[in-house]
Amino acid sequence: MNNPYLPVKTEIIDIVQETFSVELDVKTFKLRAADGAPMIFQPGQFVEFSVPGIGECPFGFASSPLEKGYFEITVKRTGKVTDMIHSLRVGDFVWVRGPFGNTFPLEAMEGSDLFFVAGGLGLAPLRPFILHALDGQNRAKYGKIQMLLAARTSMDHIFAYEYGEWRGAKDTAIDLAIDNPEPGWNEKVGFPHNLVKGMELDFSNMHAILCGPPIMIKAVQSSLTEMGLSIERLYTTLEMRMTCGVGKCGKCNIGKQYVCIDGPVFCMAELAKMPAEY
Amino acid sequence: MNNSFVSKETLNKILKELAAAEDVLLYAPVLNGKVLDFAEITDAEKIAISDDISYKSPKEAFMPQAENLMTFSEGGVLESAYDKKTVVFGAKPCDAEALRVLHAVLMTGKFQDPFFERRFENSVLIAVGCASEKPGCFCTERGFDKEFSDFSDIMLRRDEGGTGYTVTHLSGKGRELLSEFNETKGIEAAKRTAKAQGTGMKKLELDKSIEDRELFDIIDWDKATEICQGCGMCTFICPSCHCFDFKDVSTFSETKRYRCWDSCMYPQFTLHASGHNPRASVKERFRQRVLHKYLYINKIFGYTACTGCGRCIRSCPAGMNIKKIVESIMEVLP
Repeated sequence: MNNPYLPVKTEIIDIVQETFSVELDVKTFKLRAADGAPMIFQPGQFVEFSVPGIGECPFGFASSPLEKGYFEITVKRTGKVTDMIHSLRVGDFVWVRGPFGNTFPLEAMEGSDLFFVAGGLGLAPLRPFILHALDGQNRAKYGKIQMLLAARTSMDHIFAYEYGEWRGAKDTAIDLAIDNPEPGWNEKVGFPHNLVKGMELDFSNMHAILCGPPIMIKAVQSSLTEMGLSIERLYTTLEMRMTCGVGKCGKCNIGKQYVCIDGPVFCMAELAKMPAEY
Repeated sequence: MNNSFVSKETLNKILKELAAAEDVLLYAPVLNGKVLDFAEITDAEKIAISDDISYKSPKEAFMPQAENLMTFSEGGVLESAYDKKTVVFGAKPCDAEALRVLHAVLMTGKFQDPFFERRFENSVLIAVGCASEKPGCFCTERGFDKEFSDFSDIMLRRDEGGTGYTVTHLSGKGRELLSEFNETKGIEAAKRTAKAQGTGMKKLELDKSIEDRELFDIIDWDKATEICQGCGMCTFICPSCHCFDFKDVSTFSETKRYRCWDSCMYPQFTLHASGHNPRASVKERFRQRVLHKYLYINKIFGYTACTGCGRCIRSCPAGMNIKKIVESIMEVLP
């Protein structure tokens, strides 16, 4: 029997320091299996990443699913395991198993406009979807692509080195936002749930995909639904403690769902029916 | 003598041989001080045959409290080996029914658990029916037969004269084990007589059609859980609780990864790295314990994860009673 708990030896082939401050220290790790086998995944899925002796944690994929030579995870330094992960160097080996979880309903969203709203690190699990949609072979499958990418300060946007390229894509608009005014900042200032109210959004054929702190997701959801977007067309991805990733350990259980199997991607209409234990 | 009968002497001889066999792990009830416990034994004399229910369940024969899953070293990762045959003697029908729940959770669905599978496949569960229900027991309210479970491999019923046991159910694995002994070769399960249980009793269960959220405010959960200390004892002695965590233990040259029992009663169970906790209070955690057992697992895997063994009720230091809570929900449901 295939053992879903057995991880694969994986090499760190590059590390990008995304943001660096006492409050927010984020790195992106580029990874490849030691035997070179590609990681085949879809946007929305996650891996269980471990450093033996320290522990194992789930991380959403942060890279393009079209890239077969490597995959990336983006890690905020926040606890025992992530401290250790942040101390790793290029050439170090770690252990990875996956992919696990469901995916964003890419095909169901074809033909519609996409609106991505990300807060802070919430952009990481959306990036595979964004890169999938912006890719030349897929771009025509979607209508207009809009993004509102919020961060606490101007130093806290992750993947900022890519925004120029994203903005250059056909029929794509990106709004950047920070919480408070800063000298030299010419983009938006404020919280996403207020900012969306001032944006030109056409809900006639749109899917919105949200990810960020739970409070941001809830606030943006209520703004967008007030403005007229159906919750059937709103999606998010949940963060939960997940030990096994395969629906056995019980930690990510919410009502009749296990986030690791039935999620982490949920339609807001589905979430509205679930107990709010996330 | 009919061909379903096993005399006391024959059973003792079989247990003695199993206990002594190098390639067999025998789990059986033993007296640990005054406490009837379940343990791995090598001396059959230690087996405490009793109608009482053991303090711990035999769950750990199938899912040990800490189980080494794999070892990391310079050479890579090595899955731990396990090829011993396990015989569990003296489980109760409620324990066998709880194993049915563990099997459903761990072996069905999108993924299967290979560590549970190899222990389960290499095991023979010998269950003995209960002559009486003990204080706190409620298997009959849960719809089970205190004398019978066909999720056992060999189901025994004490004969009233006290001279031996009648075999009332035999699985392939059970038949194979008995065929290894001359005295029990060719033994067959007796025809099962009608299940002895009270009539007109309302089965203690929750209807699967209930929406999960409906039960969040249907009773006063604050009041229902105010005495709970959150110690988690109930989850550890429960034969159908199965939630777990991974723990790594390192020495100089290697790291062993263990699967350890965990408990939904502990705040760390769901605590996010960010500090956010989806089930931050004892109320939320005990509600999760009740609803995971009585509603969610039934919806997902088809069984209620409570077999009425009563261990959690008898052992709770604060006097929590899951049966009364489920009854109170049933009372107010439309």
